[in-house]
Amino acid sequence: MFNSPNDQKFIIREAHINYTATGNTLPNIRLGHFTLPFGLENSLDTNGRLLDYNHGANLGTKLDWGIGLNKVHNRFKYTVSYTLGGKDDPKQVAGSHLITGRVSTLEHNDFIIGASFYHGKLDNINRERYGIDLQYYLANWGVLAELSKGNKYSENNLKINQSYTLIELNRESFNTQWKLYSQLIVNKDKGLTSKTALFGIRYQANNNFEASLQFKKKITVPFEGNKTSLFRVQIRYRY
Amino acid sequence: MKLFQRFLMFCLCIVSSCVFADAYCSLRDPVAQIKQLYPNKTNQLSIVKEIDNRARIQVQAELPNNDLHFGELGRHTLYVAMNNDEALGYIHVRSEQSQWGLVEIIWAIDKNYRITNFAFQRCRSPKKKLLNNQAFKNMFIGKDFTQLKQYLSEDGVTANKVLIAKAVSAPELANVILRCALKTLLLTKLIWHNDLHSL
Repeated sequence: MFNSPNDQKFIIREAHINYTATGNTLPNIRLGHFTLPFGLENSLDTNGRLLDYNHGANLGTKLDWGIGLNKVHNRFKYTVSYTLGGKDDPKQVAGSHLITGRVSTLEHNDFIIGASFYHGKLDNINRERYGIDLQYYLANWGVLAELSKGNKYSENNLKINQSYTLIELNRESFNTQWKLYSQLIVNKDKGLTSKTALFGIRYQANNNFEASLQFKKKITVPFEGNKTSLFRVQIRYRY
Repeated sequence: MKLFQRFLMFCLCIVSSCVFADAYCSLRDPVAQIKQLYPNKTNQLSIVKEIDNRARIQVQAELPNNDLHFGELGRHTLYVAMNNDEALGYIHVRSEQSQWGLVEIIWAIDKNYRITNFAFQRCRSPKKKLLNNQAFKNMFIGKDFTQLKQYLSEDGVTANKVLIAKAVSAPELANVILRCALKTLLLTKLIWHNDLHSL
C-alpha cells in the first residue's frame, strides 16, 4: 500500500450497501468494500481495534471490493462473496479474484459453529483455505476457536501447506464496559510452526470512547528467529 | 471505467458516513424477522431517532432507581410493520443490563403501545427457557406501561410477587424482562409517538 516513507493515501474501510428487500427466502445483496466472510471475524467485527482474528495474515487481505449474497434464516445464516482482489482499490490486479463464504448457526445463541471457505488469487498467489470456527458463551465468559487448513501456490506452482489455529478465552463485565481476552495462535507454513500468545484488555467508557491495551509475544518461532514482543495501546473515538 | 469506479467510491463514502452513525439495537435481519411476528405485513418502515440525556432523565423520573446503559443512548431504530398503507404494529429491540451481560429482547407492540409478543435476541442466562413458559409470557401480552408498572416492587427495579409467582425458577431474569418492557414502552411513546401518530 505504501511504497516510500512519506506516502499518503486516503483509504476507504468498510463501505457497503446491503439490499435487504428481497423477501423471506431470497438472499440480501451486498455491494462495496467489506470484510471477507471467513471465520470468527465474520461474526465479530474487530475493525479498527487491537483485538483481531488475523484475516490479513491468513487470507492476504481483510477487506476487498466486490459483491456478496447473505441471509439470516431461522436456524442459520450464510454469506458468500465474489471480490476483485484489489484490496483497498475497486479493481482486479493481474487476474486477482476471491470467492469467500461462511455458513453458521445464529450469533445470539450460546454455542455458535461456522464453516468457511476461501479460494482465489491475490498478489499473484493462488490460495485455498477451509475453516471451522466455534464460539461458546457461559454467562460472561466466552471461549472461541478457529481452525483452518489450506494451500498456497508459489509462482512456479509449488504447493505449500498452511494451517492456522486460534483459541481465545475472554470475559466481559456484566455491563460490557470491560473485556479481558487472551489468545493462543499456532501457524504452520511449509511444516514450520510459530506460536503466539497475547493478552488484552478493553475499556469502553461510553458510545464514543474506547481504550485498549494488548501484549503480544511470539513464544515459538521457526529456526532461530526473534521471539518478539509487542505492547500496544489504543484510544478510539467513534462518532 | 475509472470514472465509474470513482463515482461508486464517492457514493459509498456518503452511504458509509450513515453506516458509521449506526443505529443500535437493530434486528439481525429485519425483513424476515418482522414477517415472522407480523405474517400479514407487506412492507415495513424503520424510523431512526436519537435517545439523548433528556430521554434518560424522563426514564429516571418515570421509573425511579432505573437508568439507561450507555449503549441505550444514541440512535435507535423502531420498525413499523405495514400492510400496504396500514400500520399493523411496531417492533423494537432493546437491551437490558443483567448479571449475564446485556440481554437483548425483541418486542412487538400494538398501536396502543401494548405488548403483543417478545423474544430474546441475545441472552446468556441459563434460565432463558423461561420464555417457553406461556403463563409468564401472558403476564406481559396485552399490557401497556401503566399495567406493567403494577408488577414493580417498591424498590422500582425488581418484580413483585404477582409476576415472580409465574417465574419461580428465574426471578432475576423476570426482573430484567420487566425493566426492559417498561423502558421499551416508555421510550417508544416518548421518542417515536409524533412520527407514529402521523402515519
